[in-house]
Amino acid sequence: MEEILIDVKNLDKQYIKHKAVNNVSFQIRKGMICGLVGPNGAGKTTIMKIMGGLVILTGGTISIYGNSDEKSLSKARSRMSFIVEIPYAKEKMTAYENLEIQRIQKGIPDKNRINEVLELVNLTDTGKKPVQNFSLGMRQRLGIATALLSKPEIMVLDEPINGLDPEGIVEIRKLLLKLNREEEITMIISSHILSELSLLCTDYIFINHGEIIQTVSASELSKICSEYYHIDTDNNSLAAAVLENRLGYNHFDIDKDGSIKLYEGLDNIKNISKTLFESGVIPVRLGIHEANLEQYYMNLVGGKNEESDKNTKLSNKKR
Amino acid sequence: MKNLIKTLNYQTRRDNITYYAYIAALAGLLLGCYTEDGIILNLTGSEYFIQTAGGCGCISIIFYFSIIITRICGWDYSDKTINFQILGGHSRNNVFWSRIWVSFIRSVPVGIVLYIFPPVFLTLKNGWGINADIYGIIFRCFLAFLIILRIYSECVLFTFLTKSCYTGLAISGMSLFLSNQIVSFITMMKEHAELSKLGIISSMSNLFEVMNFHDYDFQYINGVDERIYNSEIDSGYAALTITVSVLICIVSIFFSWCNFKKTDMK
Repeated sequence: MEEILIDVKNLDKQYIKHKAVNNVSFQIRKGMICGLVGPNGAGKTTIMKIMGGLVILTGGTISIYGNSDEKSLSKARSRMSFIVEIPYAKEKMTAYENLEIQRIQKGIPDKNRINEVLELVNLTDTGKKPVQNFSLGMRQRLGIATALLSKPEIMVLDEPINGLDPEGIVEIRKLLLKLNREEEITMIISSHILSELSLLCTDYIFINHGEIIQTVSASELSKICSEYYHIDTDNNSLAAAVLENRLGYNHFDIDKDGSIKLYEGLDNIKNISKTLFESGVIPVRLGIHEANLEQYYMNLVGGKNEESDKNTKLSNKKR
Repeated sequence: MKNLIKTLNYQTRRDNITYYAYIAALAGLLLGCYTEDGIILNLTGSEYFIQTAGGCGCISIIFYFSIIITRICGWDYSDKTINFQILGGHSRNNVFWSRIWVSFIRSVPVGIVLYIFPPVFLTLKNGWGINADIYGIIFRCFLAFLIILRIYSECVLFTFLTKSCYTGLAISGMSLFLSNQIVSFITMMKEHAELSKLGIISSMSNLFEVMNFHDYDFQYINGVDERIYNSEIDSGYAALTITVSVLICIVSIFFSWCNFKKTDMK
């Protein structure tokens, strides 16, 4: 079993009017690329800021490398790097000068490291251009360069590919995968581009309204997001009864629109169609589908949002 | 903390605004000299001190301090690059005290040199003169040093409370200047000892009062009527100045530190 690098237990962040993070617990093991997935305002950035020491937690504990006291956490953060929200920089200084500031404050003796990271992120030709004239993509690259400067053991990246063009996204993805495989850098990444996360992550934490709704590994997720046979007929209730009673299939779901997702018998499609027709059910739509991370996420978050709305309505009624 | 200090020095050396502040303060000091009677290079040390110390000297100090201190303490707050220092593993204590150290070194000694250099230069060139007793002036300078520390700590407090060098600068500069002017006006109108003491506590600094010389006599010396200023200062007034300056310095820095330790960084 890989070493636990970050252990978060019952983390809370209470602001005056709302609770941004509620009883969040998870572990990050060495070598993981953990995707933090959730809608805007879910609490992803708050959790990252608490890990980074920018936001002070109001409950629970965080331990990094097994230590949770403030002094040890500060020391541990020197072995980590962070991109949190938009990467900030001294606007009137160049990319090189901004990285020089970071090099000095991190105590990195080798000045050549700046040129190395600028080359890694394709910012070598910025010369004397001040950062205030950079595009969003260039600023993002500078943020990534800053994160790579100190050769960290853990990287916490809040939407690292935000603003990048497609080539840039591919480049950064390849770079992150390379760093993870060759230098065993552990990563926590949040992103709204779920298709990119699905190409990167080994594990996922789904978060909504400040709470973790699911943690799952990539391999488990691929099993969950398996193929299914999508059946929509003129009488879906009868179709469901036929599937269960005449064909003996129990592993199916009824979708929100009433259509059926059948997870078994995928090699028996001809027989299914024939049986439905013989039972007086006219298929309107039939097809093989494979759920992806996006659909899984939408179902998960959408389902939890409905549950949350129900709870809100119930508590309003009680009042 | 050593790395943080190096970082702040690197940034400050590349910040044009600190150089503009330095030049503006120097220009203000020299301009003030040229608006007074006589040509500056012919003045004795005491003549120069009495004419400028309580006027353009104070204004230059306040102006220079406000900009330098709020810039060094608050620039990283305004553009949020201060976050990198905490994310990089530096404790909040180190981040805070490195700013205090660098802003102090770049403001107080430089401010004192700006203030003291012209009268020292003129004394070496033309002598101290007879217009004021040097020992009284030295004591007033000691009080001014404590008041300068008070002004420094107030600028630090405003910057850390507002989390912005620009807002901190606006509040520091305006508050210092206006409160000095208002209280000076009140105490000059009434010339009452109690109001003078109230001025020390209620304004942000009493630098103008300490460095202004109101009491003088005319003496006939070497065939010329000379104005001889009384450079002594009331002991009660001095004791209150010392106490309030030290207290406010400690309280301001302490509150700034507490605020910074407990604040969530945006």
